[in-house]
Amino acid sequence: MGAPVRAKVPRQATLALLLVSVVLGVFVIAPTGALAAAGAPAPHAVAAVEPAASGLSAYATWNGVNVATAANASAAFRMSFGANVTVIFYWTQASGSAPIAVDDARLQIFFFGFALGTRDITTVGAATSPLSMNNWNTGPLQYILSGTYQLTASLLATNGSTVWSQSFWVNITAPYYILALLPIVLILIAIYEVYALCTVGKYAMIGRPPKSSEPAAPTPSAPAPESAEATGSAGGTDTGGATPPGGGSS
Amino acid sequence: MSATSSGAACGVVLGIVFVLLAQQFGYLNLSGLVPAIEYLVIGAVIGGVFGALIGWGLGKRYLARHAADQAVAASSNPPPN
Repeated sequence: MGAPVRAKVPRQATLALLLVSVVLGVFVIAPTGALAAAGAPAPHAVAAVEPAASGLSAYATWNGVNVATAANASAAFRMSFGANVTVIFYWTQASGSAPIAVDDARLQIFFFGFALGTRDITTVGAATSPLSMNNWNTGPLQYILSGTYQLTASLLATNGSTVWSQSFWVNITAPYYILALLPIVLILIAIYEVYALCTVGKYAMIGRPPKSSEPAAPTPSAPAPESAEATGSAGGTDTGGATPPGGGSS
Repeated sequence: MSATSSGAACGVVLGIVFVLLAQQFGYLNLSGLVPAIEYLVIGAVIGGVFGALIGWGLGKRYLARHAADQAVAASSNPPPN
């Protein structure tokens, strides 16, 4: 009667530990990042706005909405899977200032500080405002990634220098929130690691001597003299004749 | 490799995976290099600590269960004379 009860307790404890680990992950790790993202904007969360060159006033629109309205991650534009966006760059130059020739409008998406993708609208010679970037999307990345990303819209002069730029945020959603490659792979890894964590107790036996309930049997290291002679005469343990039996040498 | 260290290893991987999943679900921003590494390190440390604790507890429970099973087996199957 006692053995089945003892056998069930560790399974229940394993399930309880599994639930505890999931709850800790959901209520400790994820909210830490969520609070950090939704709280007071950290220095890195503030959109980096490079002031326009002297005499140049510029802005960009995301489907008709000024990108400055999405300067924080909490106010990110939402972009669904397969959607296309039109980004239009506007700029004006104050009268009396030195003219600045803009010939490149650029949009970049960043992840881990590196540009995942860059799209440019270039013109031959100086362009006139506005410059329209039609049907922008994340391309093949939408099959791989989802989540919130930082984008930077910038205007470049003919000499290659950036005369205006502004960062904003876009929340790209995958179909059913998880149907992208990276979330699926991460979920599979998490399931495997949770399983490995639940079965990690067996490693506690490594290095421990096996416990046996039976008394240790005497080792046959001291055989009877008769059997030793019989073995030696039969040659069963002969190692090549280097050490012949004592009886045969005289 | 002990149960504690194995649990810590699993916890580190789980912590990193949770951070990346939180970014994929829109709870975290990993666009900057330095904050992304900070989040990953924090997740790895928290996951490693909790994983080590869980591994240590599961190891102790496994040893206790194994000893109890051996005792039950020994009592039900006495050694032959």
